[in-house]
Amino acid sequence: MLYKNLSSDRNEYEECFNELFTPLCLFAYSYVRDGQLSKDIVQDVFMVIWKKKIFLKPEVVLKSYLYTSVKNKSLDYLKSKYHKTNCKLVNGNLEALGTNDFFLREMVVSEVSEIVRSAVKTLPPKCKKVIELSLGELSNKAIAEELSISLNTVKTQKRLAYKKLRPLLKEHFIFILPFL
Amino acid sequence: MRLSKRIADAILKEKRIEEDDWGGHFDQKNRDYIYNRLTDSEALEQREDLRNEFENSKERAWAELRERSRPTRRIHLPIFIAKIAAIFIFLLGLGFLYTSYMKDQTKELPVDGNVITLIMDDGTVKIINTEKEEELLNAKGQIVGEQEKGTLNYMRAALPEELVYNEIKVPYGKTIKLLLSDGTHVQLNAGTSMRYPIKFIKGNERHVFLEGEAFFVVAKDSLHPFRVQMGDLEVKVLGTRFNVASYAGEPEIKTVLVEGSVALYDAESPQETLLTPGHLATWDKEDKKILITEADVERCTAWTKGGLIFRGMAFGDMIKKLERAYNVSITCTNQELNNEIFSANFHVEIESIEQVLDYIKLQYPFDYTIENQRININ
Repeated sequence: MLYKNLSSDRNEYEECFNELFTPLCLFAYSYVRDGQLSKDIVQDVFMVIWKKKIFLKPEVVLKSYLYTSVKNKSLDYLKSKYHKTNCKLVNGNLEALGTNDFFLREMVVSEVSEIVRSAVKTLPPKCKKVIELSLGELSNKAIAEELSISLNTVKTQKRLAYKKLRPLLKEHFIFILPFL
Repeated sequence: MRLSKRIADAILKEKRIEEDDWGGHFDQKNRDYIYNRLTDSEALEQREDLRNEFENSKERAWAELRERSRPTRRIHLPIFIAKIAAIFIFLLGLGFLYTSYMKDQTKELPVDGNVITLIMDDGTVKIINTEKEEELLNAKGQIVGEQEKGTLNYMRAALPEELVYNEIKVPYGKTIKLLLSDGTHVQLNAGTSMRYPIKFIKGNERHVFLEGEAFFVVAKDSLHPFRVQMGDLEVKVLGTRFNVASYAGEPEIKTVLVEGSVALYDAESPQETLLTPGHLATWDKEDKKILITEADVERCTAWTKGGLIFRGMAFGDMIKKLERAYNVSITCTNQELNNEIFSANFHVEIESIEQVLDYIKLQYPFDYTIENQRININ
């Protein structure tokens, strides 16, 4: 039985890689707590889908497939004899890491971070600065001091930001958790 | 609005995340945790640093992915005591390494021809006919082994403790099974040769030399490690079962482990590399580095049951495997076809080479002629 591969998927693959490599690394990091290893795991997962010519449609399915693969690979690594004999488990016990709650929690953190990041990135520079600081829970007053601007300017910039962010949050993003 | 979007929205606008926003997901502890991770300035800073690190290596990671269409993780593992019970597959091309090895160790004999040949320790060549049963005698008339139902059995011979080698050569289109003196099973794929002691000596490691592809089921004997030598690369097992293969003319030596674990090391470095189940080790003969990647174990061992499985393989690379399995020589002058990628499953005993080519023709039309096992594709 023969099925021909679709070799035209390269661009699509690159796009997907560009968008998801970093968030997936951060996600893997929450399991394995090692930067290099996180990159290796994510790269492996991409190689598998590339090699097997796995292309899942719609994108939502691909995303959850990738997250699940990264999770499984991370857990496999933590369970491996190599890891057990060479490293102490730094991140609590393996059972907690293996739960669905942990998986969903990290996925939400990863996804929200990316949404917030890309949303903020679209803002004009001044506006962006204000929002970035406010995300770190700085009060309006503290922001005003930090940026040497008036309290009123901070408030105006924030309002402007919210206005600009609204349409962005409505469209534009594809979510891994359509069921939530 | 969906969960992530609702939370992102609340955070961006400094709103409280309401009960409704959570949509019943997570307990309070996890909600606090998520909120904290997304708003605590220290957590954000940490995440940003980490993010930058990943973002910076993205380009290189992409280049690496592009470079090989096969996957990869480079692992340098510390010295590891190989565990008992290992099944693995070894795919290996020996290229010039093999050539130099052959010159040193044995008389040059082509593996082609249509018969399985066995070179005895005194240099006499016997033809193995798997259709009938026979005893193998050495020059002194002693029984060294017997052959029945396609298996060469060295277990029953009563021989003195002396290191004597036999070498078997399997032509294209044939496979054979060996049962070595220690009870180790070996299945040799087409186009393979192996040199091995007719009796393993007590106190010595069990050492065999391979070129081509083979599946090993190594008898457990922790006192006598089993080593498969392929040019400069060696695989060491203490335990039970594994599958090995090696071919000349390929730039890499490939090992896939199905179960258990196995140690690899090359002649120049004392460092062993551990291979874990479900992974492929690719040893580059030129830069002598081992690359460990995920492997489809079933596909790699399919040949032991006559299966031919191709996944995302260029036609040019498929040709080599088809030639071995069907004992044909295939010439394809169409470069575009050679680069065309296919995925397919065949079975040597079910599909003939004509049927295989006809299937491929359905996807990429071409004409071919067959004459005396020579196939020309235009």
